[in-house]
Amino acid sequence: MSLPRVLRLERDLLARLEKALPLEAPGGVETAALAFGRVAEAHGRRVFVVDGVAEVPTGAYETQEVARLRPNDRQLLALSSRLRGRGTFALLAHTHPLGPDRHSYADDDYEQKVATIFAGAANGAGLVSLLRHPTGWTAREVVDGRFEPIDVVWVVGRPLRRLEVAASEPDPSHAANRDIWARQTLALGPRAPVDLRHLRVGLVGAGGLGLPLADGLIRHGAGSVVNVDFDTVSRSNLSRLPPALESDVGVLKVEVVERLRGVHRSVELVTVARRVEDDEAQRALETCDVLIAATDNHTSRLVAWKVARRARSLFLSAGTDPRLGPKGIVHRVSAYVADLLPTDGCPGCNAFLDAEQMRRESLPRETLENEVRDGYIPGVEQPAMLSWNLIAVGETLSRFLELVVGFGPAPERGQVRRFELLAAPDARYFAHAVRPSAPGCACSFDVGTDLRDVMVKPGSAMPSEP
Amino acid sequence: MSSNTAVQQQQGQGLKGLVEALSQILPNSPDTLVFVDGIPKVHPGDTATAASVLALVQSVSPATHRVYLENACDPEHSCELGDTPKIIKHGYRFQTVPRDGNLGRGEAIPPVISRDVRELEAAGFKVTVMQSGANFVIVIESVMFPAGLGGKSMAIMLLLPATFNQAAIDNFYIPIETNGASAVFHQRANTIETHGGKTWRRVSWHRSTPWRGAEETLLGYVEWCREGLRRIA
Repeated sequence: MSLPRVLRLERDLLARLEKALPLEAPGGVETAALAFGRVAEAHGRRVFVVDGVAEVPTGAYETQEVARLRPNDRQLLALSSRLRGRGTFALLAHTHPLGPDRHSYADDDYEQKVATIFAGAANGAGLVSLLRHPTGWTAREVVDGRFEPIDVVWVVGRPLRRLEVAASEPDPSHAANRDIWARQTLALGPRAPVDLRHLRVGLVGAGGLGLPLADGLIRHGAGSVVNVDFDTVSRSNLSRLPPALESDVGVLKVEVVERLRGVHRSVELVTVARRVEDDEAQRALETCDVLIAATDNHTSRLVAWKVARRARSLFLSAGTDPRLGPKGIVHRVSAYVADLLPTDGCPGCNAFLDAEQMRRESLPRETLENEVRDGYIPGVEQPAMLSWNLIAVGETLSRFLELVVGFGPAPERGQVRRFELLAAPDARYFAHAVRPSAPGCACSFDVGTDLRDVMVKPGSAMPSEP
Repeated sequence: MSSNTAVQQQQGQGLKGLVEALSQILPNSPDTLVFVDGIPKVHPGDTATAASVLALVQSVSPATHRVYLENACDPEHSCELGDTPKIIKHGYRFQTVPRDGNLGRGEAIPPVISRDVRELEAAGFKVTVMQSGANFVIVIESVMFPAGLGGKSMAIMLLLPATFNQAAIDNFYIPIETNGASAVFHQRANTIETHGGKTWRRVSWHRSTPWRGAEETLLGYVEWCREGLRRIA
């Protein structure tokens, strides 16, 4: 059985492709465009992350053009110079304006040829093709001259949208479980179970927020959940981890999450007992279409956001924010959820990251102990309550459903939503729109390091050695 | 490849521990090559090949890693460094990438820190950067201390979270031998800590203004430190 393959591209990149690939071309002439990106692969899933769309190489895409194609084709070589070996790929998108919803034999020849060029010129870079036709899209990967179908194409935006691709085999276990979601389907509509079934959700944290979130995601029907947490259950966790028992003290939290496999058989649950900074954890999270940060650590939230941005995933952050008054009593507490697209500013730009808290989290033990001794850092833990967490979990699951199946008001803009628990009942709910990267913030520098800004320009000279 | 400044590090898949590795290869002398992955500090006019750059990284070879040379003045014209020696010019950057790795991972020094280091250097400071756990140790030399603190040019050190400038910085460090000009200062600087293999005196000064990530720079923070030092003189 082949690996499930997923292609992920942002909405504005899809719009550029659609503009380059008109179906209403006069005379039904095929058109083509090139894009490029990176491959993430872990735990039996292969994900193609589109980083940028190159300029359209030709207006026509006909067999005689194919016959003239040479390995020194300027566009192909220019693009291959941007690709750096295994782990990268070129995307060849083209149309069948009047044709069938599958690749033709001529496509097979052409794509095998182009794949060979990229593999040679770009040191093993792969090739993915995306075919636009009157009834939808079809996508596939060329693997050693063979063709492997792409199972899902996600368009990353608000809401997250699944492009219809060539029909894959229905999942018998999922069909057998249809009754589980019968009442939920009455609310979300018939398409929702299918979209959710295709979705892989990454969850950073398996504590007071992460564990009930994992439970909720599985019960809502998410096809696949990847949970990352390195920590073990402590006695003080027992008041906030609903399924954990006293006998679980000392056990890895992800082992408690593992029990959720028993909710229904069609869920794929991957647990990684690592910190989110760890490469193994990041490889697993990069394959996720949605990433939710649910830790009490601000640095790990920021790292999770960076992984989501790199993987072009939708990012949600959930948490509670208790504030202590001068006498050490909680005088304000809020539960919040925020959603960010890869093109939005970072959690810092959107004011749900505490810069001073992150500094403390990074301190070496010696310095931390000195600062606590000096009274500059409080030596007590933050308060935490199950009821606060459950409000954040409920808000997060609601926002998740808005964003992935379009349930609720059309979420065109990202939001940071806050629920002030100790405010008067009519002043408890706040929301503000997410902001772009602030110039000067570290996140605004990261954009320049990916391939988004290195589009192939028409007429540009070949890259030359300095 | 000849050289001219100090030591840096490169992290990433299989490249951890480079600070220690480079420290062994390159003595800490003024003529030592400073090489930051992604930010070259090689002397213009030197020559480099992929193998010579990777030779700085113990146990890393061209068989497992590539080296890319990027021309900052003309980013479109970057290329992979091969066996042919290239003459290093101003504005060049190097990046080493594992052959099997994804792009984007394995970046050594965050771009915002690199930018701020360049800004400090442009302001006349000599800067050395080392990674130490979840922090970067930034040693800024040629900082003039007031008469009450020796009245000479000395180094200060900042302990920078790797997530700077989204994460805040606080305090700063001065050489351990620095004596306080006043009892108040001494009280604030009586903690000794070891960072980056060297012992420092921590000056427990804290800004009264909140941290504004996007607006904060290392140069701005150093100016705040200097202003404080001037005031106690």
